Amino acid sequence: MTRPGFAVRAGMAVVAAAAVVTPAFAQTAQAVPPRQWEFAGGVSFVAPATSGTTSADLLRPDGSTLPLFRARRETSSGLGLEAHLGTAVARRLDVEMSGVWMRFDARAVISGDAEDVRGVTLTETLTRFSLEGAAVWRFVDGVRVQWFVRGGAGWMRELSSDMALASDGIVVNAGAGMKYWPGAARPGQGRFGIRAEVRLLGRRGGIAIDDGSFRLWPIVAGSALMRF
Amino acid sequence: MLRKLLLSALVVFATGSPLRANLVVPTEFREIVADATLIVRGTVTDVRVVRAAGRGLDSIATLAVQTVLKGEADRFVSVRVPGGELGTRRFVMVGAPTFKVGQHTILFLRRDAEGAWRPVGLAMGVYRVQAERGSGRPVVAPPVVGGWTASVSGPIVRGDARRVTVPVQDFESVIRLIVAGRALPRDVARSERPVR
Amino acid sequence: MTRKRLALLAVALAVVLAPGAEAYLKLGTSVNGDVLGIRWTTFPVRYFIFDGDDDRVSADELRAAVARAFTTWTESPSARISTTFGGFTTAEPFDDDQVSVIGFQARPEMERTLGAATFEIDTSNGQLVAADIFFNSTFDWSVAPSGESGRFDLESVAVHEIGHLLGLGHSALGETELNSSGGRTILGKRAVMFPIAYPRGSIEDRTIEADDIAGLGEVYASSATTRGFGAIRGRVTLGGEGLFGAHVVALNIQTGALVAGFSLTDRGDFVISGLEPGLYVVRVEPLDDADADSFFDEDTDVEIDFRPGYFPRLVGVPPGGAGEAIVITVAAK
Repeated sequence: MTRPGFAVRAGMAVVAAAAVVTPAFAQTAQAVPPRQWEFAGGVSFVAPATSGTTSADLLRPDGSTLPLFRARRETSSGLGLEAHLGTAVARRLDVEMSGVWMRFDARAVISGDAEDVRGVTLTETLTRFSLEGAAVWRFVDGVRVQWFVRGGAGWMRELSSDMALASDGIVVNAGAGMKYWPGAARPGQGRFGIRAEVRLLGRRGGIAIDDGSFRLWPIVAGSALMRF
Repeated sequence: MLRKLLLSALVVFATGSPLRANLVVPTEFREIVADATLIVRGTVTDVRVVRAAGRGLDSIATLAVQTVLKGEADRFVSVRVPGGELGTRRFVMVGAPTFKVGQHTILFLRRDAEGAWRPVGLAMGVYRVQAERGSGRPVVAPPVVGGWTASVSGPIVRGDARRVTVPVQDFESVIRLIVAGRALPRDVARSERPVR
Repeated sequence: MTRKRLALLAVALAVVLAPGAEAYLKLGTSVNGDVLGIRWTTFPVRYFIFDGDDDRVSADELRAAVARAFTTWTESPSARISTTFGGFTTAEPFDDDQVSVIGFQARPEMERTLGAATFEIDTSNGQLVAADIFFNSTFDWSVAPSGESGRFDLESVAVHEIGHLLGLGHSALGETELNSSGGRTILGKRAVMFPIAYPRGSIEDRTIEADDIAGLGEVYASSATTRGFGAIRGRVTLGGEGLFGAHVVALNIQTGALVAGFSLTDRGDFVISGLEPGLYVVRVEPLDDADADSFFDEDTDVEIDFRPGYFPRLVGVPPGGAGEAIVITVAAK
């Protein structure tokens, strides 16, 4: 079990530092407005995916293979909880820290059994925790509606259901979304809204549920927003 | 510490299984029957160990014959196999069958160059008669026989419903049919098996 | 899983599995009522080559083939063992000389045995005195680098027999078929320690597989070699009762590595160790196509009256330990 890699930690440190340092670059001749923070909490949904087939191969006398059975690797759809805490570091640029908890199934669908065992699907429920830093660019920055693109990276840990197997890795994701603020902004008061986004999640490391190549999972997320 | 504990736990029970191992050419049961000049069922009444010149130790098991399925035999047959124990020395040929007094067995035998009876194909020529769990009746784990416990040709499928322990009388019936060169019936008669 | 829970698990594992339980790939012998594993405790293991030629293979060629076969095992990452060639000898395999000799010997009465390993054991202390290997010269042998049609590859058979010499038993990772013309042939296998040889001309058995490597690691386990590897443990049951002799196969769903073991108690207990961390498919099948005496003691009754099946979950294997014990329930034929 490893701590997040140095590069990931360094990246998160840079994001955190940017949140503190960059107000200096946003200063104008006018009075510096008080820093505002945004907190979002909500749910996310990851789509199911298939990641190839592993064959339990025997070797024939000529070196070719004879499958004892085959296991098609799948991950089920999953539901998760996520939270984001961010702040503006420039007029249209935010940085945020995000934490995600997600649960999904790893599956092996058995076929081609040499002894004709049929209709077998093996599952294992996995849990993923991730902590990441991200940059959010508001390319439409209206009063009520903001559209953004987001990119981030961070550390993850995946656990088997009995928690005997745990493995760390890296997650990266990129996506786009929308923030909607139904009420008007009032000075000194918090503002509430909703956030919706789609992301593509990539992972490296973690529990080996695929062939080890870099794959992307689509995620849809919705959160309640609070600016303070 | 934790991993040492786990490792030691794994090693504690990893004490080893008795010695069974050699490399053989694949052989079908009918070949074993054909190569044997004597096939008998009986009970081991005695085992003694002798020195075999240039071959370590041999064990000679005496079998009280109950049934002769091929060839001719006296009331007792002596069978010679590699391995045995003399004094504080144990010599074991991995893959050779071993015999114990009281063991019930069916043996497929032929004489070696010195005239001693030896099992065909070492352990291939030895079938233990065991007590069926629950009923206690004598049964045998049957070999793969095309047309009886397996298809006539093609892959031998583990879990084939035709391969279950069979009463020793059924196994002997099959042996007699093969010895006689007669085709095996599709279903050799079997007694009722207890349901688990 | 917390450290405390893992520690308790380890203790439970030792208590539950210690009495009468045995590992699957290892050879053992009973001494004074205890079953002791056959393994070398002093290295390098010294061996000699019988200075007698086969009609096609000289003693020198035999020595070279045997040396390559030993290297196949000593280079395994799962164990730190070493061997050394002690020289040629006029002593034949099986001579009562307390020296490990490897060589050809004509054994026509063992007309189906390509080769075999033997052990000489001091029963007063359970010590392994010597181990010999013979190759049956009634067969046609070859040391050609790419094999030779019509002849058995000597190096392949040497790798198998040296596996026994080092303490490994048989593996059941293989499938065979009956031919329409009569006879039985091997379809495929994934362990050098499978007891049936590839046909003449094949050299596939020169390379040890994951199952063989795991077995060697279990015989010569050390903290240095087992660090990072884990195990699957559990029971096989039928109708609520344990099964002896069930063949349990584990497939790593990422790497495709196949490692197998057996249930070796009346409770159906099994352990498959030497596994890389990850998720595994676990499959169980009866050993109903094999000569059970090739695997187990003659006093044990192997259960064969059940159908192959799978454990319904993917099993997680952590590094340096095992997850929760699983119970695989099979159905009767």
